[in-house]
Amino acid sequence: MKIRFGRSAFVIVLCIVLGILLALQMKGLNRKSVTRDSLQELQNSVIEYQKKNQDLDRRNNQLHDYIRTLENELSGSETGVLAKIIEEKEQYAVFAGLRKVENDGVIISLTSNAPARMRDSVLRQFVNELASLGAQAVSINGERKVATTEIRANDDQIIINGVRFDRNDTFEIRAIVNPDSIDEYIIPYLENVRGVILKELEGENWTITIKHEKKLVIPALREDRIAYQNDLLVPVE
Amino acid sequence: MKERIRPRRKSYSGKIIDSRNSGTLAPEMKLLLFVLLIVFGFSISVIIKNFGTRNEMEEIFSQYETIQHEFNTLVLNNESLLKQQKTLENRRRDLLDSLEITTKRPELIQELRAARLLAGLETVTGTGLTITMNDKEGYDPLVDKSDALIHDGTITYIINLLNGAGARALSFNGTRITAVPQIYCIGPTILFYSRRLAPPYVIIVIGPIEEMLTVLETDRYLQRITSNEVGIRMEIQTGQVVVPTFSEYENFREYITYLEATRNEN
Repeated sequence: MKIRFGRSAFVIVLCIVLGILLALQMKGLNRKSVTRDSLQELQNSVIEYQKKNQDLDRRNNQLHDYIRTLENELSGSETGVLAKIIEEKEQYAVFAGLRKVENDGVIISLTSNAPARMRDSVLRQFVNELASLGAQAVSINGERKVATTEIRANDDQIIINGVRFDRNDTFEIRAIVNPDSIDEYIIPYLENVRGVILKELEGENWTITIKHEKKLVIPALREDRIAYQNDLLVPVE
Repeated sequence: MKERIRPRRKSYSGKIIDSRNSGTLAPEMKLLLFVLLIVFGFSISVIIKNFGTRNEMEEIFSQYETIQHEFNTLVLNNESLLKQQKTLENRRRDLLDSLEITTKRPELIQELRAARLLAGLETVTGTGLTITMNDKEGYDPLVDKSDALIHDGTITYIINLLNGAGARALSFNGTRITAVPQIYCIGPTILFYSRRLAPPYVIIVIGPIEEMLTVLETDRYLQRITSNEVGIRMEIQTGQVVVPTFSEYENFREYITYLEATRNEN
């Protein structure tokens, strides 16, 4: 009887010890899944959120000041509210592409010599590259690129903001970018894109030039363009 | 009556003993012990093997836990700041409505609202589409074409198609599409402004439903990438949709820092 009890106790103790060892290993397994890479990724997310929160905090402080000015205007102790509203409206309009803007930038000229014709995909590729390079305003043949601008080919024409351009003409993309990095980074990068595109278009006769332009002017979106319409939008209160 | 037979065997001393009460083990017990001891030995060997690396691992894990905690706090803080921003924006709107300017200079307030709408700084609602896209199921880089993954070019291509069909407002994974949207690939993910996105990619668009559906369904490139051969998964839903304001995630003032507004001649 004593031996039987001893044997069972031994197995129970062994199972318990084994359970603890397995639990320890499972814990270690969880920890193993945390690598230096995932740690780095988490650190990047933390930096990203810190920046986001700083921006939001700044924006909220600006809103606080603005609201205070509006409240003072309501109580009759301040009269500068009109200037504030105009300033705010102008900033929105600049961001939306509704104002003509100026600064240093780049001009990309594209000519496809017959029998080749301008491709919408080439224009879009340059525009997308400029956007990813941080361009703040872009126009194609004088048409301001806004959130709902389309660049598409239709028979012999390229349509931009509803305006038709002949595919055999020269197309000019203008972009205002960070003036400090135009020569060192942006133009070399765009030259590289140009090389890739010309390689893809091998056999066709294309001329693509890229240049740095001081005091580059980019026009505003014209009010008669389709992209100006906001008839289907209802603000959510 | 038949006597119950117990397993018995002779001991070395010649006495007959009962195996249940003896020091020896039954075969099933032996097997159990054998397995348990093997697992036990294996566990010990793994622990010994990991002994050296454990300290480094512990250090990384403890750092991870600290940063995770910080991250959770930041996310909570972000949510509360966004909530605060919404409250402030509503207060600003209410105050503008109650000011005399609304009656004295109605065109100014109207221009302000129109500029906010076109800039993508108002959350808007309307009828439109919700387009959900996913990479090919079980994508294998050794077998599948690179087209079976969704790239930045795929997204900008669809946005361009929708714009051509009369879209009025669009968002991509919860962030409003603006005049010069920064969308580009980083490895298997897409970076959109400061946000790193992974599938599923969701484009929400307000605009004429029929025109937008037609252009998506008849486009040859989309037909090809969504075919069984390539395998991109695309699902389109129609109905009332909400497109968020750009300021929900980003500060638009950061994206106009190089722009100097000039007067129009006309």
